[in-house]
Parts: sequence; C-alpha cells; structure tokens
Amino acid sequence: MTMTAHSAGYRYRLLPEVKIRREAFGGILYKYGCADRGTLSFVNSPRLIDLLLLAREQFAGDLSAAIEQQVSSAGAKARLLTALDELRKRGYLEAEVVAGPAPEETAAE
Amino acid sequence: MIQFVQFHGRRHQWMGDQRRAEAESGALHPLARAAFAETGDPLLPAQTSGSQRFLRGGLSAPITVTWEITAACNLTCVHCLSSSGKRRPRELTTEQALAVVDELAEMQVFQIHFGGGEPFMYPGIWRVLERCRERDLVMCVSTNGTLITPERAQRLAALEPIYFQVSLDGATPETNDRIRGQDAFRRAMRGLERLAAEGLSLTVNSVLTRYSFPELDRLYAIAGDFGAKLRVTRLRPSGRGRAVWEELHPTREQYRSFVAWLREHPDVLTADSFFHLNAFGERLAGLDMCGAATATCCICPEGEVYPCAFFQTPEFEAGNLHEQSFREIWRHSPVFAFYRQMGAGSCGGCVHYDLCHGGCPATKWFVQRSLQVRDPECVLAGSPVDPLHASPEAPCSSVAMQEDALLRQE
Ligand code: SF4
Ligand code: SF4
Repeated sequence: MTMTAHSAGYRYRLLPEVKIRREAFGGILYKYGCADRGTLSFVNSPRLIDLLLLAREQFAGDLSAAIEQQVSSAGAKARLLTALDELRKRGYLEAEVVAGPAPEETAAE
Repeated sequence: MIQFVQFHGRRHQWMGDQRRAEAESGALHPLARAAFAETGDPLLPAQTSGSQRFLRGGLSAPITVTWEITAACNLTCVHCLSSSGKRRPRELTTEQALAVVDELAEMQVFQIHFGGGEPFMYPGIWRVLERCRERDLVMCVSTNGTLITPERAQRLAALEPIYFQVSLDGATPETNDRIRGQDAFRRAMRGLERLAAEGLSLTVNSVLTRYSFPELDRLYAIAGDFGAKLRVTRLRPSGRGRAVWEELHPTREQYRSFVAWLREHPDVLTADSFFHLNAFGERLAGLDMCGAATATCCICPEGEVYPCAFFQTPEFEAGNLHEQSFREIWRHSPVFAFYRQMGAGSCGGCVHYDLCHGGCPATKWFVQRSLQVRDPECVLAGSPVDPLHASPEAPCSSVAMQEDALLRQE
C-alpha cells in the first residue's frame, strides 16, 4: 500500500508571508503585524522546520510535493501530515482539497 | 497571539546558559548583580510552562526589536518612557542605523518596532524604513501623529506592509492633552485621518490610566471610525512615567473591570502587557510573561541596548552599538544572560505564578529597586486571597509593597 502526501484530502502550501527561523529546540513560525493579533508559534520539531524550509526553498512552498519527494516512510508521512494540518488550523498554510484518495491508500498505517 | 506546537519533548541548553552567565557575571553592574541574585535560583525546566519553556532557553535572535531611533520629540508627554525631548549627542547616524537594519535582517529578526521620541524627527527615518522594506523586515511605527502630512502619508503607503500606532491617551482633548500636551489630541486625530486616507494599517495606541479608563468605549469608537484597531497598553513607571505613575496608574477595581471589558472586546490589542492581570483568574490572550531579553529587546537612540523599552537604566544596559555588534550583545551580554535565568523571587510561593510569572520586572525595579518582589500592581496583594501573606487592609500601592519588601529583608 502506498500513502501519498495528500492522502488526508489536502494539498498543503506554505503561505508566502509566513517567516520561519530555526532555533535549538526546532524553530519559530511568525505571521504578524501590529494591526492584527498576529501569530507566533514555537515548534519543537526540527524535522518539521526543515521540511517547511525545504518546501519554501525547493518546492515553491508546496509541502505536499516536498513530502512526496523527501519522505519515504509511511509512518513519518502520516506524522508530518498531522502536524501540517495543525499548522493549517493556525493559519500558516493553505490547503487545497484534492480528489478523495483511492480506497487502498487510506489505511496505510 | 503566541501559540505552541509541540510534537515531542526536547531539552534546552539550560545549564550551558547558566554557566556562561556565571562566567560573565563580573561584567554586570553591581546593582544588577545583586538584584538578579536576590531572585533566587533559575527555575528548572520541569517548573516552567508555556512560553517560558522556549524563551528561557534563549532564542538565536529577538522576535521583535523595539528601536527608539531618536530622543527628539515635538511633544513632552508626562509619562514618556524615555524622557524624550531633545536629540541626544551620540544618536546613531543614518549609516550606522542602516548597518543595524542589515544586521537584524541577517539574524532573522522578524519585526522592528520604531519609536522614540518621535521617529519622524529622525533625519534618516525614510532611508531606514526603506532599508527595512528591502530587507523584508516587518515595520511598525509608533508615532504621536502630529507630523504626518498628506505627502508623508502618501510616501508611507509606498512602503507597505507597514503598521502604525498613533498615540491617544484619552478620548477627549481634556484627558489626552493633560498627558500629551496642549492641542495634541486635535493634531493626533488629524494624523490618523491622513494615514487612514491612504488606507494604511493603523492602531490607536492608548496607555491605560485611571483617567482614560472611563473613556475606553469612546476610544474604541474613535479607532473604529478610522478603520483602526484599539491597542491598550500598561502604564509603566519608566522615564518621566516614574514621577506620575502613582497618580496615573489604574486602581485594582478599574483593572478588574478592564479585564471584563477586554472580554467583551476581543478585537482590542494589548501588546501582551497586562499579563499580571491573569492573576484575577482569567488568562488574557497572548504572552503570559515578560518577553524582555528573550523575545524582544530595545535599542535606544545613542546605541544603548536594554532588555526592553521600559527598562532604560544604566544598571541594566546590556551593551552599546557604538562599541559592539547587536549580535554580540544579544548572545553574550551578561545582563541578558542573567535576565533569562531570573528566579521567581518572592512570587515563587504563589499559586498563581503560572498565570502571571511575577509580573513586570521593569515596574518592580522602578517602583521598588528590586526584582525579587512581586509586581507592584499584583492584583492579589492585600486581598483576602493574597497568596503570599494575608493582610486584607493593605492597599495595592507601591508604598505598601515597599514595606512588604522591608519586612522580607528582616
Ligand atoms: S520588563 Fe515589563 S515592560 Fe519590559 S517586556 Fe518585561 S513585562 Fe514588558
Ligand atoms: S504574588 Fe507574584 S505571581 Fe502571584 S499574582 Fe502577585 S505578582 Fe503574580
């Protein structure tokens, strides 16, 4: 069985205005302006930060494509997708709904 | 709003920071050394929660730098945190300021918050703002609004995204001008109109005092009229504010009502400055601890770097940009290293410590010359549920707190 990076039903894209900085504990995501209540998140997963930076630098922000190319383990993909969905809810990513996955792709874990 | 995304546990370089701070302690001002020492041992990682876990480990760079780019100001507000008025002799030149912008960009600082003085009195302000735009730094400018001409507003619009905070410390000329000087209300409103006419992103910035508190609804409406948000911030006793703090700072009952008012106005911003009010029992949005020396710091006109804009005092000067790079100061200043390791002081015994983290160190210092005491506006001091000691009659004032500090030394 295979698991595609958009098997959760979304294709994730990093918003261009989001800033990312590596830190010893992982990194910081920032989307801010003093006219809004901005958002700032401490992310304690260096791997996730690396993925976000890689997607920005090499995949024009397309996180799903970055996962497809860089992550082979189904378990790691699933964990990253869960994390990306969390970041989407917090306003750092946009998600494009993709056609539902084929039935055999849904239960990779 | 600060958020946390945790996927697995990770330990900080806690002990490394502590050892470095100890090694560098010789360079600390003696008053600062004594004040930090009094706060006790740094909290262990297991004793920290929320943002504290990430911030106390030290970040590679600030998230926001407040930059008081000049001390020159055409107003003389009675509570000015930096005692501004005249330009100072060693103010950074435009070339030096541009180099600082470049350095902050290289360190990946996210945002610069320009203030002063009045930033539009700094001769190089346009070049500095343009350089920030080129370097993709988010800019926020705090201005008294009086020098905004239609032409300037137009020129600023070309720098978007840029955010403005225009100060109004009351919703009426009487209340505002009592703090900010004659005719300041009318001129600030005119500045707001001109910035709004260009569609610029605005907030009306208002320091909460016992006189402006009854005008919050009207301030909210004024901000709405300009398509702006209202941002209410805490009065601190720094700069000229020391002389008027006792008279102007809100009463505990006003603070209690203010928390309820904030609940009804969730779009009002607070610059995360009222986290000491969390001890009423309701956590306000945003950072729940002092972000000085960890998430932010302040560059002052003559290149001095301090933990925050409200902590401008020689004892806590972390370094000077005439002598060191910003990076060196951020990474190696003993003031910053110790600040990041500060203990809980007398608040260590408080069951609400997780909510308020002892309040604002700058306020403690300027009111009581101590960092180990609780916040002088601790909302529980002297109340029937005072977590540190019961003294129901004691008023929540700096005088009461000074006595408290003396008693504790005995
Ligand atoms: S010292 Fe006080 S004013 Fe400065 S950042 Fe800390 S809490 Fe805020
Ligand atoms: S005693 Fe200290 S920690 Fe407790 S509520 Fe007061 S200032 Fe906050």
